Amino acid sequence: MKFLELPDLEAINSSLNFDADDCRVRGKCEIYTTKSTVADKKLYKTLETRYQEDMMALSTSKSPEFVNSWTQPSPFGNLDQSSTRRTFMFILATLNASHPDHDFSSLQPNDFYKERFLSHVIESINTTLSNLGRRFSANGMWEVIDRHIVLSDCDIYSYTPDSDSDPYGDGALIWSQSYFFFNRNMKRILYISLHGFRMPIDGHGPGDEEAFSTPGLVESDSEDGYNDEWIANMDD
Amino acid sequence: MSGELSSLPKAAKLIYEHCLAALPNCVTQDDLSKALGRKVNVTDMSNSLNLLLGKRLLDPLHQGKSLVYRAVQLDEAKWVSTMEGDEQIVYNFIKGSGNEGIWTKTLKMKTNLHMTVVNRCLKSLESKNLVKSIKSVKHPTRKIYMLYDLAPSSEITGGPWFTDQELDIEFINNLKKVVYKYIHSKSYPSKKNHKGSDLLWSVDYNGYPSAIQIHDWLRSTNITEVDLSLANVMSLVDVLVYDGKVEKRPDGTTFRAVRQVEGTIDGYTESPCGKCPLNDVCAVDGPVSPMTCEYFDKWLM
Repeated sequence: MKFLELPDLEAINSSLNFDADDCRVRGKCEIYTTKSTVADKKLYKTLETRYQEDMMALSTSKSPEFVNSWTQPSPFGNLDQSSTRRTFMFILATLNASHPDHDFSSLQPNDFYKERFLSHVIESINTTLSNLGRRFSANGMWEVIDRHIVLSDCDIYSYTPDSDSDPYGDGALIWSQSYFFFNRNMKRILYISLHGFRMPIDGHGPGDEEAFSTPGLVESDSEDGYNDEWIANMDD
Repeated sequence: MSGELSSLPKAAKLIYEHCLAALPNCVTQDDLSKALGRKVNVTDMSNSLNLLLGKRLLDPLHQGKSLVYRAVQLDEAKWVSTMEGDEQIVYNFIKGSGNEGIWTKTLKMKTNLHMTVVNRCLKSLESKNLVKSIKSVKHPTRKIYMLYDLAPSSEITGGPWFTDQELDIEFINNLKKVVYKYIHSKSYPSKKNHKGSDLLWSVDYNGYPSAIQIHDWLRSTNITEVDLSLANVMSLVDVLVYDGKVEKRPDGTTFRAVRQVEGTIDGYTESPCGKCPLNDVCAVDGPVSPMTCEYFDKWLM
């Protein structure tokens, strides 16, 4: 997944990191294209292998109770379709790209939830922000985002992990909201998340490094076609 | 390999061999002087130490305020000396994390190296089969690295209760059933063909099992190949206690299965008072009292 360096989005990203009255907020607003890196290809291969093995086990299993997570309908659609599995892979790859110290390949499709209404999701994020006393106009933010990824054309998935799997889950985390907006036509994914932490006592907080590190500067795999040239594409 | 050892000056060889023999413990300056003071003079000692440190045959470590030395195996030293500086730093931190492993985020913080540098080093070390990545049950998404040859600690793997990062619920339930049956069999006399509530032992019965007895018995049944420690068995018994199936006896060491009774017991319905037509007039000094109650006599007999 290739991270898009967009200055106006970067501005939104930094504005989502602030101290509210009773908690510290760390947010992310990042857009990635679905261009595969070497790591993504490895991830896809891992998932496909897991799928094939489970399918084999399912077909040879004589037990009527054998429940296979791949055969259940998932939030991404029917998992026996490769396009569905590909979408799931994109979401995991986005998480991996955004949190380079983590590996989300063990997640299951059912860890996510398909949101049906864009308005609900926007409302939910706006409410969270306004509850935190954030005075910047939430509407302005959505307009800017919409210029880079047409929101109305997106499939939306939400992710609420338990604190073990949460990338910021280190005891100080109070609440979190994470959403993925996948625009298939534009081949882009918007990852927007908000995490609230209790105020640190010594002035040094959790997630500090994550908040200010630039994603996408992961592996400079020269075998891959594009390497460390980060072109600031305004509209790719 | 031994060629390299023999190329060391005599003093250095003596020091190195002394430290090697002390593994996995470290050796202080004092130890060295005491052990080798007669064979190696002070200047030779410090020159040799510097030589060994330079060849990476000794690791300097801090124990409290003092500096100590730990020998490094010859082949490991050879690997480390072929690494570039950054890789050496990364390798040493991973080595220092022992069988807990170290998270890449912590590695970056401690080494102060950039993400791309650390990743490059990790890739190189992995390709040389010196380190491997592992998964922790406490933090399933973290990328954790440790030395290739070490086995992850049970904190990381979850011990016997986890298989492939997942809690093996069936295994635990089966073990619980078996342990419960054993405790129950020791807590109440066998009913033979009676049905109904459990019979009771008399007050001076002392056959209730302790944790150690349960552990020994479980091992003797060979019900599983997995080696369960006393602590593991204690955890199982604790779960049974929290489930309300087993209770810890007042002596603090033995356990007793909770008595299974026929139907439900409710004091109000069990005692005759619930059905007694004279309940309203029954009092200690009244016309009828618990002391003189006929129904009680019948009930208690």
